[in-house]
Amino acid sequence: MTNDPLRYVRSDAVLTREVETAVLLLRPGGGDVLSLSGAGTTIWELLRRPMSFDELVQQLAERFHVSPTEIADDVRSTVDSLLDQAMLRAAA
Amino acid sequence: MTPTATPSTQVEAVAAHGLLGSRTTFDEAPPTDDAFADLLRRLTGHRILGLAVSAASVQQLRLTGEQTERLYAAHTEAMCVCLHLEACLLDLQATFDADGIPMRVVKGPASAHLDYADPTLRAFGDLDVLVPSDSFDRAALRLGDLGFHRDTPEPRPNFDRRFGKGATFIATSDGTNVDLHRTFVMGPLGLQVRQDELWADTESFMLAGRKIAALTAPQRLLASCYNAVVGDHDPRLATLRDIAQVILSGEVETSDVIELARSWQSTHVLALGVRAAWERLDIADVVGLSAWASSLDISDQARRELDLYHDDAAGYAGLSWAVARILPMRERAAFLTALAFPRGGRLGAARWGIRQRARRAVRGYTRVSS
Repeated sequence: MTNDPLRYVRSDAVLTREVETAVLLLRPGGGDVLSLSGAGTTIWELLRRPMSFDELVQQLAERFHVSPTEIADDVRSTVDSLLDQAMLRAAA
Repeated sequence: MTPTATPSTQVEAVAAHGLLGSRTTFDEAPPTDDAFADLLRRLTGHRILGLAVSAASVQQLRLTGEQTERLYAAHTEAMCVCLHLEACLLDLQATFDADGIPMRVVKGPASAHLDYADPTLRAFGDLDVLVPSDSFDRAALRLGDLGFHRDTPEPRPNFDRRFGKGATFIATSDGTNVDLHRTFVMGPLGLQVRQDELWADTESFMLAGRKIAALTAPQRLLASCYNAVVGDHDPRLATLRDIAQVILSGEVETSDVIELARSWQSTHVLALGVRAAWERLDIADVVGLSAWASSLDISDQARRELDLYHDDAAGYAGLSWAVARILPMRERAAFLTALAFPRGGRLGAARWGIRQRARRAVRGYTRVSS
């Protein structure tokens, strides 16, 4: 368990396309298309609705049949990256 | 309608993928590498890579593993282009909104989001936006503010706003193409589109949390028919698929579309567009609109006028005369003067002497009126 009290959700202000092996994301206003693949696409799918970080890790662990502690750091890194790029936002 | 039996090809089969009632068939074995390279090029040009991916995913389009990877890569690239164009569209809309310029997005992006279950099924390579005639010049200025320049100058100031279909603008930074329209097609067909009806209603879709205004379904169908019938000589299969998609999904009432086409004096365009879609995509199903299209008697005069749109030699002069005939008297002189004596414009006639222009014009006028 982490001490992260926030819940996270996709930002509405993102242009998206879900292709065969990836999810493509682009923030309007310039920049490059971000391609999520592998577990990144699952994170994007799960964060269709607001979810705490711990809940996200738990659901990913169940999906991929691993323990939460094995993936927590990687999930943190991905979520922080998506937050930095404003693809995700903290939900109310 | 009695369908014309034509051999289905892989490309047409992809374009018809998922359409109930299409008799197109796929090859049972993957293509050779050379054939696949040609297929991929054509799928890209016809803007139907998404349909190909969908067909491959259900084993209808048979590909080798490597061919599948190449198809996925091409589709991903096409979707990246679509995302950048949508970002541009959002900039465009914000800029136009700030200046009080109404806008409707037409063709690719609108079709992708409004007529297909998944926008990845419909690729597009540029933006087409429609503005009211009296906003055309301001819209052109705003495009300039966004870093776009006109592909070709207009023959005289205010020509496009008064008489033209629109103009193409290209982004100086990256070559993004925006076609700014005041109507759907050049010539008399374009001028017969009733502006009050065109702007009376709208349908919208969401992009990045913002509402984007588009044409209504009957207007989209008719616009696709204009594109198919008087656009490129060989219409893109995506355009024909758009026509079939709107009709077969039940989005439009047959009577509504026919009434709109009658109002815009374009029933022949609607009929020929529907026929083209039904024939090329080998659709067996007879629905209200396809039955009406196959039974409509199209006059020789109407066919000759449509031929002008594809006649590179005499077509421009003929269309110009056809436009002049339907303009009010006070507009006719300005129109003909602009064509005869363009100042820095694009027209082919600009390269000719006065006698050549007159001969061309007479030839076109004779064809139209015979």
